[in-house]
Amino acid sequence: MSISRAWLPLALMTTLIVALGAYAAMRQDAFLTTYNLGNLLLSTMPLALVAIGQTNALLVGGFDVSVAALMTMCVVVASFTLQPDKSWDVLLVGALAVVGVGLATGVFNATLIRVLKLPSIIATLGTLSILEGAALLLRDHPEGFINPNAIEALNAGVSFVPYAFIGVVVLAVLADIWLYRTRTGLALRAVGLDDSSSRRLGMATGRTVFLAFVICSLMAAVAGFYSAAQVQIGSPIIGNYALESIAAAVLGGASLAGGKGSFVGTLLAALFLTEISNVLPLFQQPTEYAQMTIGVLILLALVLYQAPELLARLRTSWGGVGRLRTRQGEAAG
Amino acid sequence: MSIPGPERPVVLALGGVSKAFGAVQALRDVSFDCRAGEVHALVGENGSGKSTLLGIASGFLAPDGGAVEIGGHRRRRGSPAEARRFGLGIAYQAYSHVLDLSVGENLYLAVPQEEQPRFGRMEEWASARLEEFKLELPVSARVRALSLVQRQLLEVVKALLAKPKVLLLDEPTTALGPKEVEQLHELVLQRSRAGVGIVYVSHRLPEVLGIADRVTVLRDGVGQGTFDAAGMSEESLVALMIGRPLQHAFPERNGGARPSDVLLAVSGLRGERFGPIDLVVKKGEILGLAGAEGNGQVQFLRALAGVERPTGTASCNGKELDNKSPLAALRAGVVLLSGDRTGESLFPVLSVRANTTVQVLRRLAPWGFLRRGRERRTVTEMVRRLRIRMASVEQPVQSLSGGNQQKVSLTRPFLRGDVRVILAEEPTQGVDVGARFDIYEALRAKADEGVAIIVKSSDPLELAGLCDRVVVMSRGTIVDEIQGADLGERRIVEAIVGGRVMQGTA
Amino acid sequence: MSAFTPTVGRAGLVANAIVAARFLPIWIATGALAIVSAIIAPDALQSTSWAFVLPYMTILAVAALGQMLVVMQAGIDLSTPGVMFFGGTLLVGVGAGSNGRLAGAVIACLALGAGVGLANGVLIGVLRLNPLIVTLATGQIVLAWGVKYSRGVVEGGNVPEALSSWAERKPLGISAVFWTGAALTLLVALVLRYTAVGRRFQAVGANPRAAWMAGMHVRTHVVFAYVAAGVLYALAAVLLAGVRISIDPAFGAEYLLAPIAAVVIAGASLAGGLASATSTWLAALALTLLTQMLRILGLSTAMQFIVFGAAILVGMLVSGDRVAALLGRVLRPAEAPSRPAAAQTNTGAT
Repeated sequence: MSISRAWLPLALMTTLIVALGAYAAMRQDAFLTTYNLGNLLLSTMPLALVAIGQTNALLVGGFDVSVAALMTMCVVVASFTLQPDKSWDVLLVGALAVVGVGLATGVFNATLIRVLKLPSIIATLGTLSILEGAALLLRDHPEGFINPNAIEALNAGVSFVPYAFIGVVVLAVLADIWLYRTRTGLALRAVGLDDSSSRRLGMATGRTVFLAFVICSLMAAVAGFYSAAQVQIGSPIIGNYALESIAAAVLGGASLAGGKGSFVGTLLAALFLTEISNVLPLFQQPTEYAQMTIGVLILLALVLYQAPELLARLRTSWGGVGRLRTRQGEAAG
Repeated sequence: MSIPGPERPVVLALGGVSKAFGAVQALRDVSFDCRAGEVHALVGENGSGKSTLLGIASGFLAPDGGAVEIGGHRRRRGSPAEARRFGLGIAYQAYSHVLDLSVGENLYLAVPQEEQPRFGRMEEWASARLEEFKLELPVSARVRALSLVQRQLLEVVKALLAKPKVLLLDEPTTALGPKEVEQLHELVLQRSRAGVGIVYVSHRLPEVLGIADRVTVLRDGVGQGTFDAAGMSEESLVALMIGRPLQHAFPERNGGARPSDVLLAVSGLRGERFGPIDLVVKKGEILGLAGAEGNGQVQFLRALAGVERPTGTASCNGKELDNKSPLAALRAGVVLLSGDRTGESLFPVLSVRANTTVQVLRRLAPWGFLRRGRERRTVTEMVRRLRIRMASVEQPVQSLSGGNQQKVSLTRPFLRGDVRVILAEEPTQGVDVGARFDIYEALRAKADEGVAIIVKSSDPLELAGLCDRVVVMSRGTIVDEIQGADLGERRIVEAIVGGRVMQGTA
Repeated sequence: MSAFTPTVGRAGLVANAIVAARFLPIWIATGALAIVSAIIAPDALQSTSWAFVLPYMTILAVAALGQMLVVMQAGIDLSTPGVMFFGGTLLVGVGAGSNGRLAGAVIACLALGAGVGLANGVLIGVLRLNPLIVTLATGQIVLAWGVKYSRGVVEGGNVPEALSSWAERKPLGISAVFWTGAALTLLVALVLRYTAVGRRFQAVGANPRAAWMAGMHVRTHVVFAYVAAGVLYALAAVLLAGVRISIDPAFGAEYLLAPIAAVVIAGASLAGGLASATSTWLAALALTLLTQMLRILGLSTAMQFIVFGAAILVGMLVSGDRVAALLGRVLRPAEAPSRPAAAQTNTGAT
C-alpha cells in the first residue's frame, strides 16, 4: 500500500469530523459547549473500545459479530457485581468478573474458530445468540442499578475531556505504533495478509489468530463498562455495536481480507459515527438518519478505499464474485 | 570445489523416509544425507518425489515412516518453525513471500527473532543484507511489484538470512536467465565454502553438474543411488532418471495428420511469461508441449483458451480465434482441460451427472426443463465409453479417484459436438496407471475425429508415446521441435535439460 | 476390458449415502426431536399447538429459502430484517387498510425485496465486495428507511383485511400460510433439480471459476441469488404481516439469525453449491418444534436464544461439510495433492 493510500482513511475521517463539527457549531449553539463535547467524547467510548477490538479480528482476516451481545452480557453482569453501596474492593472483584466474562467468551470464540475450524462469522453468530439468551436469563427487563461511584470514576476527566478518552487515544496510538513499528505487529499483519507464507516462514499463525479473537472479546468487555456507565442499569438491550464496530474499523481503513488496518483510524471513525448521532438531535432530526448515513458510509468506504483494485477487477477477464472465506483460520497447505 | 571428506558433520539426514498420498506412493524408503560444506543435488523427473522429500525435510509434510535429523537434532513433531530452529533454511519453489509487505519487511520476517535488529533499523539492515548478497532491490518496494526473477532471488536470500546449517533450494532457477543463474551459483558456492550444507533441486542438468559435489537421483519415489558429480555426465543422469520399471501402453498413431489441414495457427502470440510464439497444429494431430515447469507452457495454453489475455493472433479453422473469454473460446470450438482439476474444471461437491453435462444443458433441457432420463442415458453412455469407475452417477466427483475425475472432465469435449481444438494440461497427473491408457485412448479417438489436440505434460515418456510431434518451451518461447523417428523420451529430456537448446525452432 | 456399467447395487447405495449424508443429520434430528417431544412435552405435538405455530414455522422457512440461495453462492445475507420490516410497513402504508389496494401493496413489498437484492447482488457479484459487510450495511439502510417511512403512516394501521383473513383460512384444515410455504419450498426444490437454470446455479455456487471456464455467466447467477433472496424475504414479510395484522417496531427482527441457523443445520455447504430446499424447510420445522417444546416445558425465551446459538454451533460441527468430508474420506481412496506448480499457475492467472 502506498503511503498516501494508508493515510487516506485517517485524513478522510479527520476532515469529516471537523467539517461536521464546524457545520454543527455554526448552526447550533448547543454543539460547541463543554457539556455537549464532554458528552460526545464519553458516548464515543463504548464504540471506540469495541471497534478497536474488532480491528484485531479484522486484521487476522476474521469477523466477530458477537461483540454487541457480549457488551450486553457485560452490562447485565455488571448490574449484579457492581451494585450500589458496595465497597471498592468488592467492586474490583466485580469488575474482574466482567473482564472474566469477556475472557471466557474470547477463548470460546477463538477455540471454535482456530481449533474446531468453524468460519468466524458462523462461530460468532452462534456465540451471539447464546450470549443474548444468557443476558436475558439474568435480566429479562432493565433492572439493577450500577454503582454510581464506579460510574463517576469511569466518567471522570479533566475539564470536559474524560480521562478514559485520553486513555483510549493513547491506546490507539500505541497500538498503531505496535502494529507498524514492531516485530510482533509486523508478524500479525503478515499472518493476516498471507497465512500460508507466514507458516512457511515459521511463524505461529495459530496462536496469532487465537490471541486476536481473545483480545477482541476483552476489548468488548471493557467497552461494556462504558456502556454500563451510560445506561446505568442492567439492561438486556444495548445498541447495534456489531455493525457499528465493523463499520468503524472499515471506515478507519481496515481491510476485510485481513492484514491492513489502523487503530487510530478506527478511533477517529468511531468518533465520527458518534458525532453523527450527537448532532442529529440538535437539528431535531430522527436517529434513523444516523443509521442510514452509517450504512451508506460503509458502502462508500468499501468502494473508495479499494478503488484501484475495483477498477482492476472490472477490467480483468476473470472478475470473480464476492464470497465468504469459509476456511478462515485454516492454514492453506 | 572441495569434495567434503567423511569427517565433515552430516547436517541433514533422512533415513528410510516413506510417504503416500492415498493410493499414490510418493516416496518409498528413501535415505538422503547432506554434509556441511557440500552441494548435494537432487534430480528426478516431475512426480519422482523431490518436492515431497523437501516438504518432509522442511517440516511442511509429515512422513509416514522414517526419521529426519537436522544438525544432529532428531525431529520430533514436524513443523517449519522447528526445522528452522534446528538450522534448516529453505527456498520454496512457490515462494514464501507476503506479497503486500515490503522487501525489507519480508527479509525481516525471515530471520529468527534473536537475530532481528531493532525494528527502526529494519530498512538500513535490509539494505545491508541485500548488498551483502549483491542483490539490487528497492527495500521499501512491495514484493508484489517485483519481477519473477527478483522474487526468486529474494526467496533464496531469505533462506540464507537465517544463517542455516543446511539450505534447501527447490528449483531456484526456473525464472532466472543465464546471468542470474551465475550470480545465484556464486552465492551458493560461497555459502558452501563457509560450511553450509546445500541441497540443490533442479531440472536443469548442466546447472546441476556445474555446481554439485554429489548427486542423488530419484525415480518414481525410489532412490536410484548417490554419486559423485565429477564422475557423472548428463547422459548417465538422464539414463538413471528415465529408466522406468513400468512401461505404459499407448494407442496406435493412425498415420497422423495430413499436411494440408492446418486447424490452429498461432503467430506472434505474446502474454505474461511467454511469447512470441508461432505454431501450427493440424487436424487430427496431437502436439506435445514439453519444458521444465514454469516456462510459460501453461500461460500459452490459457491465452488460447481465453483465460488470459494475450496479444498477437491465433486462428482456428481459417477464422481468427476469438479468445476474449472462455465462453468465446468455447464457442470457437477451443476446449481447455485445466491441470487444476478441482480448482478450475470440476464442481467437486456436485454429482458426476452434473459435472458431465454442464456444458450441454441446452441440448438436454428443451424449454429449460431437464430430461433427467435422457441426461442419465447420455452420462451412462459416456461413463461406459471412457470407462469411468464409480458407483453411481449421483456420486459427488470429489469422491472419485484422480483418474476418474480426469475422465469426467474429459467427457465434456466428447459431448460437445462443435469441438475443434482440445488443450489438455497434464491430462494424467495424479492418475493411476490403469486409467492412463483410457485417457490416452480417448484423446487419440478425439484426434481421429479430426480434432487438433495440444497436450502439455511434464512426463516426457507420455509425450513421446502419445504425441505426433513435440515442441519444447524454455523461458516462454519454443526452443526445439521433435518429430518422426527422433521422437523419444530421451531426446525430449535432453532438450528440456538443455543438452541441445536452441537447435531449431518451429 | 469390460465396460463399467453404473448400477444401483450395493455400491450405488453407498454412493447415494454419501450424497444424502450431508442432509441426513437434520432428518434424524427432527425425528429424534419429535420422539423426545412426544415423551416429555406431548402438548407440543397437539394440533391446537400446531395451528398456532405452523404459520410462523412457514415464515421462517420462506426466509430461510432466500438465505439458502445466497449461501449456495457462498455468501451470507444479513439484510433480512431490514427488508422484512420495510416490506411490512409498505403493506400497511400502501395498502392503507383497503382491500382494493392490497395488490399494489404486495407488489410494492416484493419490488422492495427485489430492489434491495439487486443492490446487494451488484455490490457483491460485480464489485466483489464482502457479502457480510455489504448486506449488514444495506440491511441497516433499509431498516432505518423503513422506520422513517413508518412514522405516521403505520401507527395504529393494519394490513388490508383481505390479507389477514386469507392468512386465517385453513384449506384442508391447515393454514393457508403453511400451504403457500410448502408450495414455495417445492417450487425451489424442483427448479434446482429439474431445470437447466437450477443446475447452472448450483455449478456457479460450487466453483465459480470452473463455471466461468466452462462458459457460464457467473455474475448474473450471483446477482440473481440475492434478488431472489430479497423477493423471498418480502414474501415472508407478506405472510408475517398477514398473521400479525399490524406492524410493530420489532417486526421481522427475529429473522436475522433464525434463517441462517435453519440453513446451516439443514446441511448446506457454506463453501457454496450444495443445499436442499426440503431439508431447509425441515430445519425450520425442527427449530420451531424445539422452541415450542421449550416453551411448553416452561423455559423462558432467553433459553431459546441459547438453544438457538448452540444449535447453530452444533449444526456446523456435525452436519454438512464435515459429515460429507468424513464419509467421503472413509469411502474413497485419497489422492495425491496437486503440486505447488499448479498453485503457482492459479495465482498467476487470477
